[in-house]
Amino acid sequence: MICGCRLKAGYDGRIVLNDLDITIEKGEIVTLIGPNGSGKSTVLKTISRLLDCVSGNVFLEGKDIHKLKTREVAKKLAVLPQTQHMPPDFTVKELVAHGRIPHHKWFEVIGDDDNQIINWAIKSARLEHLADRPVVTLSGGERQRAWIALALAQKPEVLLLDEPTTFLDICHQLEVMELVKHLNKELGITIIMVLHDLNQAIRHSHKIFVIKNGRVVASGCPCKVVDSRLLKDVYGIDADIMTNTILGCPVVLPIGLCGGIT
Amino acid sequence: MKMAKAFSIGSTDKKHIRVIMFPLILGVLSFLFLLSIRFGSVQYTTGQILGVIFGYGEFDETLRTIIMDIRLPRTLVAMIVGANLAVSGALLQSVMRNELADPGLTGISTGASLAALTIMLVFPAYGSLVPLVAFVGASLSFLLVYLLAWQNGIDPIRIVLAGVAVNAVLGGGSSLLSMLFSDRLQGVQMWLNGSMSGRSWHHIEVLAPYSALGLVSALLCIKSANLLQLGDDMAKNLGLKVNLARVMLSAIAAFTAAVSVSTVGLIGFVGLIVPHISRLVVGSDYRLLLPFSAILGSTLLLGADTAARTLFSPVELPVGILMAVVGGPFFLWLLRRKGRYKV
Amino acid sequence: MFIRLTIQINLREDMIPMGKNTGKKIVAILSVLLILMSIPIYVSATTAQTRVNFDGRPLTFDVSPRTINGRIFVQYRPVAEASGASINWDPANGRITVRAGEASVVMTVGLTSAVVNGRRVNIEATPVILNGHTMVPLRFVAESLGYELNWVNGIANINRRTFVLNEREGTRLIFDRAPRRIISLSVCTTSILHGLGITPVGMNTTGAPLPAELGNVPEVGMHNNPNIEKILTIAPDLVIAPTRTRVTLTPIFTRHNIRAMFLDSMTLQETMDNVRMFGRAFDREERANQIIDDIEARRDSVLAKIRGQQPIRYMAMLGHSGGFAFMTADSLVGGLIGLLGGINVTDEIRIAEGITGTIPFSVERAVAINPEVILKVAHAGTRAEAEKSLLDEFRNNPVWRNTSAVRNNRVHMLDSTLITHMSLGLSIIDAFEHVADVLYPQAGIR
Repeated sequence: MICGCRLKAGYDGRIVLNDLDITIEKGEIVTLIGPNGSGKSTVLKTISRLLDCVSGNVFLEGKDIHKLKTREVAKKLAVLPQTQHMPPDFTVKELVAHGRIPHHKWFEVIGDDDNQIINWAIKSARLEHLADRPVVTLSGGERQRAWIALALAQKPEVLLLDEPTTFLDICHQLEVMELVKHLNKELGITIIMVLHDLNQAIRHSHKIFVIKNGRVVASGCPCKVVDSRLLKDVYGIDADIMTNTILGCPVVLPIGLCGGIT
Repeated sequence: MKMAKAFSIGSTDKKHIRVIMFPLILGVLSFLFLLSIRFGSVQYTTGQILGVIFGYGEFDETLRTIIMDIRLPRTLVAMIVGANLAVSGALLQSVMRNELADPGLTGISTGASLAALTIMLVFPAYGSLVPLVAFVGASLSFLLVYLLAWQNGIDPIRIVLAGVAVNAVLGGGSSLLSMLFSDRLQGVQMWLNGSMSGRSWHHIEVLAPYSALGLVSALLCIKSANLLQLGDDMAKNLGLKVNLARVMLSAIAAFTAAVSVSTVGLIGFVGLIVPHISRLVVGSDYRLLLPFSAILGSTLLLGADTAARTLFSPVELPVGILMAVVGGPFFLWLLRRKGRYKV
Repeated sequence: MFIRLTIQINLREDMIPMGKNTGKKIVAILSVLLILMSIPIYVSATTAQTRVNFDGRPLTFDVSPRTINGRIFVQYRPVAEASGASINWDPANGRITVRAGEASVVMTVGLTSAVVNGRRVNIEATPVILNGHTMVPLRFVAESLGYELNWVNGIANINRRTFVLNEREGTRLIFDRAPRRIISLSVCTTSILHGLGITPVGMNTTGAPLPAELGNVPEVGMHNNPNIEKILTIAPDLVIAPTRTRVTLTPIFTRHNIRAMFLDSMTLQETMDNVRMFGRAFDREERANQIIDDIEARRDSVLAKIRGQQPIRYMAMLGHSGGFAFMTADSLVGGLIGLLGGINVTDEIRIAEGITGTIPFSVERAVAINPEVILKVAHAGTRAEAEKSLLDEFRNNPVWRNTSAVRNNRVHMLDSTLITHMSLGLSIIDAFEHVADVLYPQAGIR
């Protein structure tokens, strides 16, 4: 469904992605993991057109994404960015309403159809009881869900999330992950995430791409891809990988740095 | 969570409050309009004034001139300029994603100043060219700032930094001129502090169409302004061409402000504070914020100008100073009332 | 024009039966008679050719104009009537009363004085009665009615007098009658008007001290931003403003058809020129001349007292140690000292053209130049004690302490009540004397 071919991209003249190839199938939950600076977020930004690539192409359902109109892309792809800005007095409903903008011509305003979709999006994100509260008054997890609701209102086929759980506590992390899985299962939305937490990545994804130095060094089913050799090569850590009986998937337990502290 | 409770006004209540605000502010504006025509340095009765406007009864030529050729056009100029400056500030605050943005950041004030001072101090024989030259100066300065700030796109921080640099250089130029021609300086003081004095119908002939152009353009950009508030990534994601939007909004903001500055000189404060106050009253949705700012800007500047020319008659205070003195404390009061406000 | 009447006498012996000698005698007598007769004709013939035009139209007289004792007299009535005045003749007292609007002229036959507009004036010669008509000197006729007399090609032209005001930059304002309702937007103009006995109908709001008689004059706002509503209500004939407000005020005045002129009185000469111009334009010539004579006398007295002295190299500073600027030779103070022959040291540094008034300056250069005399001016309103402390502070400042001016005790504070560096008016002569006294304390000027 989404295919990135020989992507080369970077910031301010510094190249981060070096001939990176990546293919994501429809309906999958895909997670990009890797060390800091490896280019995970860059891949996400390149795919979502937030960043222009120096060379290489991104194809969405066979069409070159850069040749499509911005609005067309916005109807298909929704992004949850890492940093979020918003005026302090926007309520959840007002925020989510912005998701309908790509579907309007410039002079159109919110209609009844839109209101239905907005309400649906809020419901899917399980925020009905908070719909009229200003977003800044919500807790971390609730806030992320509000932004996800905004993305939902776009009625996308693909949802990209850049480190959605990084600043949340444990229970809110679970909340967000549960919602993501629910969206994928019930609505069939393809999910592409960047995560730092290896265990979350393993537990919630269908497929993992390991990115190091701007290249995909491993990809595939999480259980098969993540092993101690990979962890040593990519992260430089010694870890113990156990299989958790309740969850049925591997759990990584970091032991220490390779060769001590250098 | 206490704060959350304090802030949880029902949505319908809030909507009602916001909707009521519009007729309210329009009412205040109308009232001030009438006040401005009624009062001035020369005392006339309401009957006489009505007589002149509607053309009945006896009135002398002086009364007619004062009401129709002095007070009325001046009132209109104040209203138009107030709306322009407020809208300019509101648009720039969206571009900068910062509520402390003011049209001066884009360099238009210093550009206009330097150009106008060059004429008034160095080539006083060409005095009639001041408005045109000021506008050109403002526009060139804006272009300079944005060219310096452009680097594969336009970013609020770079705009601010470029603006600071350009303002410093042009401001230095203005100061130099002021110093070298210090004995001619008194004549330009009124322009530097902004003044509606002596503005008449032929100023309106230029001001009105350009302002209309600017304000209508601004209204067309409401959606872009709203989207920019969500951050560049989100805005791009929702289909906005962010760099283009920034440049367009900035250009419209600079245009409306430059048209105003070239007509009445430098009046600060309106572009900064009026959108702020509007935000506190009607919220950050530009569909409400922009029109409300325009009306509030008209009201504020009209009130300030009327006060400036009547309080110490026949001496006139500079409008900008009066506005800062009155508007600042009011804004602080409003902040305290609402409790919390993130900048 | 001397008309020679040549009479040819054809004497034919057959027509007149007389001797040859008798014929010659007749010719002689006739010639003498002719010559005698032509003398009065000579007189009246020349005056019979004197035409008088009023406003371009020739006047007809019952009694032709004639010259008496070298002065041309004309019949008063036709001139007065042409100007629309009414005449009243009081035979008992030999008094003629002429009224034209508010103007009035009262003449008495036999008296060499008349009363014009309530003021007694001298006439060149007394009116006389000729053939029952009153004849008065031509010039008096014209001027008493407020007109001008000009001779063009031997024709006397009486025209309405115009009152002219000229700006330095050459703009010219012409009035039909002397402007009476004048608004002054600068203290120096107000001072001159007051000196000429004219009370303005409006003046700028100012903190400068003004004579008590002007206490009731309405204020119209700051000079650079006067209140137009007020001005329109006052309906002045003329507004006089300082030149630095020309750029901003001209469009406003033009738009509302207010006649305005822009001038300054920055030097002694300028002040006197303005006094003279106002005197002529506002019909106060006598008073103006008195003022000018007074100023010139005082100026000449000062110059006489300092004659022979060496020119002094001086520096004039405005402000105090926090921030000061130097006054150039064409500043007000500089101009006054220039008259005394003083040399402004800041002029030794080449500065760009057009930069006038006061300029900030390198202190190093100033100290290096080492002027003989340093003059300081405090801002208007500085109290005497403050002035003294500024002076002490300056003298003790290490930067200036070793300059020759400080060492020779030639640092002086100019009296800020006399020298407000912007505007002075008629008190400029006081300022001149003060400055001269400060520069030449031994000359005994004060």
